[in-house]
Amino acid sequence: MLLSGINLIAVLIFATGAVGFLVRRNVILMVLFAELMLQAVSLNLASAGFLHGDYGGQVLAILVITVAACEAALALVFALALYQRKSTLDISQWSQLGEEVIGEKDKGIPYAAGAASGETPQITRAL
Amino acid sequence: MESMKPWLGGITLWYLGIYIGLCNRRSYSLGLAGLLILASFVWLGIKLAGGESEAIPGLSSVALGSAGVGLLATAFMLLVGKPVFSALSFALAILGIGILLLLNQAAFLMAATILIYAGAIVVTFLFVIMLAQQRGETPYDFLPREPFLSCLAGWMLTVSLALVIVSFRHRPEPTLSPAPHALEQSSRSAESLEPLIRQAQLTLTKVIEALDTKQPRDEIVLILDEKTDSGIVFTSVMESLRHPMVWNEDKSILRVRRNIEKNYELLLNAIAGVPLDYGTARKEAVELLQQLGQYRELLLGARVLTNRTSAADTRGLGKALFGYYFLPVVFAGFLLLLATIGSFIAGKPAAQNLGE
Repeated sequence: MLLSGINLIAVLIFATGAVGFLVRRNVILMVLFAELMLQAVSLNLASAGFLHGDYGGQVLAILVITVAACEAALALVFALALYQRKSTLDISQWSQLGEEVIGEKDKGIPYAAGAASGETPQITRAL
Repeated sequence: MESMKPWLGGITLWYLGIYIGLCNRRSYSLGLAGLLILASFVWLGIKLAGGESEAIPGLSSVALGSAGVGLLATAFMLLVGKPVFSALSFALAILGIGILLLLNQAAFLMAATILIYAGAIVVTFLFVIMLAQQRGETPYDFLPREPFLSCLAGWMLTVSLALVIVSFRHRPEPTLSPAPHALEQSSRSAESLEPLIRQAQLTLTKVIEALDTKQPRDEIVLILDEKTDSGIVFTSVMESLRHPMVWNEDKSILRVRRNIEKNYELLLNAIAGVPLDYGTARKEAVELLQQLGQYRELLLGARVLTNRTSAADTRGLGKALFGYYFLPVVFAGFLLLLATIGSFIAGKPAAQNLGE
């Protein structure tokens, strides 16, 4: 016996977190669901470590928590930065994050406008 | 796939409930979704409590209760429209997972998880939600993206991962026999000693495996009971404080050697009696295993019969973290530093934009 029912529960939480990540449109909630998936992974690691009588699982779970904390910090900063531009947390509003460059279509190269005359290219953001 | 049959119904009910709840936000639909999710949990709970599969042992009522809290909070987090409620049910799910961690003897991990997630991350997220969405709810929170495909993907993910867990089989148990010369010294027959030998072999096999693979270990202390002169135990220092035993490393080795010669059964009793803790390797343990040379072949041949060994010592975890796993800890610290710098840099242009 190497695996337990707790692993099965962790799998269900992980997959439900994945469904939540796919289904919800609110970017904050998407990050929360990603955190939930990481938490399910931590539970699996701790359970495996317990079953093997080894600290390795717990150590790896602590590293997962560190990564999750970093991810949360960066995700919140990006969410806030994007919110200030679009005033919404709807992820579908951020599907076009590319930049439009004036003259790109005419000459076929990016930053083409004003390149010949030495002027600074005018860039308008798609958002 | 045969071994998945008992679980398929519960998993399917779970995702059916989630799909119905996502598709229609009316009260009767949400009620039906709740009923389906509850039925799924009861289904899975009965199977998990009874140890339906050979590979899945039965769960205790505490484990089932906390799993229920975690799972139902996860479903509520997914189905509820308001982001604030979702964040709060995330905290509840973390509490359920925390109890499951405690049941896996990961007390430090439980404390760290609850403090970091429920105490810091959720509060930060709530701040952001409350600052950004002061009305509390927005139309897009009630419009799921591709619920059918997402639920189908979730179902397939669950089934495929659960298949790996459920289809796992026991390794065949080895045939064990005590050393003949040791039996001559023992007052008991081979049959009566067999369970004791198995337990002792399990313990020593794990010690030898740990030494061979250079896994992290706690201090393996040699402990001697002065009153009964009953030999050795492999344990941590904390364990030694719990047991009223006097120990002296140099003396112990001598005593152990004498005890091996003297009474095989007493040695087995001593080894089998106390759970094993891992940590940093000790020279004495290696020497002791060398002294056990005549039994080493027999012990190495034994397989792990049960995995319920103790890894509950937070002190041992700390020693593992700052001993064998020191480099990953340094890496994690570096990652945190980078994330801090990165969040400052990424947040700066936004602040400038605000100023403009």
